[in-house]
Amino acid sequence: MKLSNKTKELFKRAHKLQPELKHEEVVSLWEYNLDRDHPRGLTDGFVLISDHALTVYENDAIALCEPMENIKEFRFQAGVGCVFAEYINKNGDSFLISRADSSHKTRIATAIKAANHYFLFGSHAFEKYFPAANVCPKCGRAYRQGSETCLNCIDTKRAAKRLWGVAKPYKWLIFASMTLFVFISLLGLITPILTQKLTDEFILSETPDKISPLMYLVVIGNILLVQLASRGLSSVRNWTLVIAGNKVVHRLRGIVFDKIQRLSIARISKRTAGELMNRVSQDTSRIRMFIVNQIPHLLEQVLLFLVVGIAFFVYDWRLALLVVLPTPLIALAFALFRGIMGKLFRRNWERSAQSNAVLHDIFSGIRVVKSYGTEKRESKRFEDYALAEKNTQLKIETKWAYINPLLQFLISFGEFFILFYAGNAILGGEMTLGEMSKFSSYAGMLYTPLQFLAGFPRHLMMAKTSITKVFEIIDEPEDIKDAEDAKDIQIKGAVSLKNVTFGYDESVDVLRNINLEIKPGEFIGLVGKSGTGKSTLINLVMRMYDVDEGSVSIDGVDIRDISQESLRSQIGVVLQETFLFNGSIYQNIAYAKKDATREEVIAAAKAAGAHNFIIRLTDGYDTWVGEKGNTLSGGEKQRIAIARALLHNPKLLILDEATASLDTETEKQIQESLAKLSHERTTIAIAHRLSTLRNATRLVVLDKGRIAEIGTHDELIEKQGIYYNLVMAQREMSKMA
Amino acid sequence: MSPMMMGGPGGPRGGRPGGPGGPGSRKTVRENPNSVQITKDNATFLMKNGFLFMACPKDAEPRRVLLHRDFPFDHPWSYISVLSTDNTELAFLQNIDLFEGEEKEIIVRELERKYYTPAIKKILSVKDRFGFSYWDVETDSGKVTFTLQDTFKSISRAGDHKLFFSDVDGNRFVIENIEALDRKSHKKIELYL
Repeated sequence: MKLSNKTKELFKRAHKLQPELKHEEVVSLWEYNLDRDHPRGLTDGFVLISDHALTVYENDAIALCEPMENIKEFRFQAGVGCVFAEYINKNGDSFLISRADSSHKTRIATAIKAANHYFLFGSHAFEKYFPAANVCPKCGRAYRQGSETCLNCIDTKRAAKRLWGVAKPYKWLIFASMTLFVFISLLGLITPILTQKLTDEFILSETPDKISPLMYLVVIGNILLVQLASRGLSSVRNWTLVIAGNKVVHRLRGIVFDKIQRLSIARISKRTAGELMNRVSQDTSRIRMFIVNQIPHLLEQVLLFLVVGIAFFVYDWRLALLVVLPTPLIALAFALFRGIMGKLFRRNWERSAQSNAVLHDIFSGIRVVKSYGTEKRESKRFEDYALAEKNTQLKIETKWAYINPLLQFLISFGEFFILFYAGNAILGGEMTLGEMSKFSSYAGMLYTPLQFLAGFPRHLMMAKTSITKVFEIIDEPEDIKDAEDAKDIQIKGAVSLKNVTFGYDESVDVLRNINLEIKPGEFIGLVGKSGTGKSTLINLVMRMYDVDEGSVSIDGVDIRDISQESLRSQIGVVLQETFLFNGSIYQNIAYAKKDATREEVIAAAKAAGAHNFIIRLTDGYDTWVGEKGNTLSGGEKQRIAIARALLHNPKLLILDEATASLDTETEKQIQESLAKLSHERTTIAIAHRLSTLRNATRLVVLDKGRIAEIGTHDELIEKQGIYYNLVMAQREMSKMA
Repeated sequence: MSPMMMGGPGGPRGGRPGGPGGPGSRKTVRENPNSVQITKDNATFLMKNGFLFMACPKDAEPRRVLLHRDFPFDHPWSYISVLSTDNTELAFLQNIDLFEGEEKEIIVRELERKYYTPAIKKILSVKDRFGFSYWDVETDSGKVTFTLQDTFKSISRAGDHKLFFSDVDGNRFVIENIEALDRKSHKKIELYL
């Protein structure tokens, strides 16, 4: 039996407590850490379920022991920040077994499933519920359902390393520009030497008449040449850099965008659209600015500093020492301000993200705002967030305004020493004027990098914040992945759910042990009160989420083995809330099939009952709809969405309250046309208006996450169960109307 | 309705505040038109097998119930729904002060037991990496390390000084009063305020 280290540890503990216990007798086991009665009390608890008894040890003493023959079921109950485990005896009374903090949630939830498996099937299922691969190798915590990333130990390498990973394909471009940097820095050293020559040998020459005009021209010409070469190389360098920087950011943007698209609905809906947009556009552009403007500048300055520094020391080490005197100060300042500025930039980022999100929120809900007349309140809300953003921004700027001049002064302090030293040397005849001008040029060259370095933390922290935010998305665990050998299949339309159990959260199962066989061409109506798991069921068929237990298969293939693209491209979906993209009606219908002909689009529109109203529009199929196109009614939008779903003639059509906003007359028309087309198509439809499902071959009634009834309309009416009651209630309603 | 107007931490309010569940709760609480407002006069609570039971009216057969805070952040001791084990609201307790003595103690204990929220007394270290932050803190239930994903969103404010943390595993922590933290701890959390 392959078990994780953590489980082995548990087994060891069990063995210590019950030495006579054999491995194969163990049904389930878990640890817990909270006192059962005292709210804040901590304890060291251990639950061991063998095939003959449940034993609970607390601080290694038996706290509870119950023979298995008295127990009917184990249950998991989530508190807030903690979880409870309980058992139900044969009389139906429940008893508390353990209480633990939420870090134990996944482990206890699966342990309880293992225990209940024993009651259901009479067999042990240790490998199934305690597989070695299910536990983070680093910290021993169980992975969340359907995930293989431990959020507590997620790999968070340093920002620079991550960015380099993205930049790697362009390393030759980057290498080329670096080489150019070295050349340009070296060229920069030549000019002061030539100027010195010019000053000492020509301008201040004691024998001016002996100067050869040709030599003079040669020196001047050399200065010009060096300048030309340096500018020329700089252009080439800038060119390579801009290309490299933009390529890196373009790639990064692609990676982030792709990643967002690949994330499951559950993860995407955690964030607002505004926030995601922020990351794709704003953060990546900040990173580009950093790569194109700041990093090269940094390299240039550091190289310059090194080259000039070495040259300086070679010429006159005493002078050099004076010049570099303030360097430790700068290093210190760098370290100090990096922390402060980093925090400020992080806060500023969050504030700006917040105000963007609020803005997005208000604008998306502008109809609600207008209809409740809350414009003023919303203005105030935005103003508050904008104010908070302004305040953090102001804090950054004021801090900077204080710090920067002080730093700059400190840095250039050494310059006074040079003036003093060189002045003395010249007066004493040890140095020429030309040499002094050369030295002050070099000193200037040394100070520029130092000054730049002092200001660098600001840019660095700004970029780091953005890099962090971007990689946060890239690192987001992907919970629905294509299997490595995912197949593309041609769907025929048989859907089968076997023992499907699923919950959005481990503690609450939304669907429990669902078994359903749908034959190709069937029209299945899903019925039930809200919150009974109807939409969840179709989400599972579309694989928006993966099942926790059991399997969903199409034509006998588990959908986890079908590539998501192949699966979804063959399913037509119409949801209650329709979304039309910015574009023409034609484009919106053709969205489902790239190469759709106009004839196909018209045929789909006709089938969806949309053609008639479309041709009444002035611009026909070219009418612009989407966010700005508020000209269409809810029912019209819904019909366009139905046309979109029908366009690629899907073998599996899913309708989630798709005709809810249509009047009964129009709905009837659409249903008739759907019925005409549906002989080769499997349809799964959810509707509260039961008349919508009058053509259904079978109705599936869900109640509390289980299938309560299956059958045709007549069969279920005869049964006088839940469906019957729903029908009767709706009849009452329509009588009243 | 008259005993309802006693006030409490949340202050008296007319009518029944709507909306079941806190943020992130996915449980469907079923509407029950027969849900009653309870006081010490029409209901009684007791513990059995480690669970809370309620009898309402007092002479009815006690049944197992779950307490649910309707405003867990803002009003932990008011607006409490009493749910059946299948999450149907059976009764509504406007304020725990409507009970007294041992029964009130039982209610308080049950709420604290279900809402396990250690209070952070001291922040030892906070490390921030790519949207995850790693916290090392001292709480009234001992030293704890926990991880937040998307730090800013995992910290909710209640009032001016109170903070709630929800970590990656679903654990909750609270800082009752940020101003009362020592200077070093305060500095560490400052960024996230």
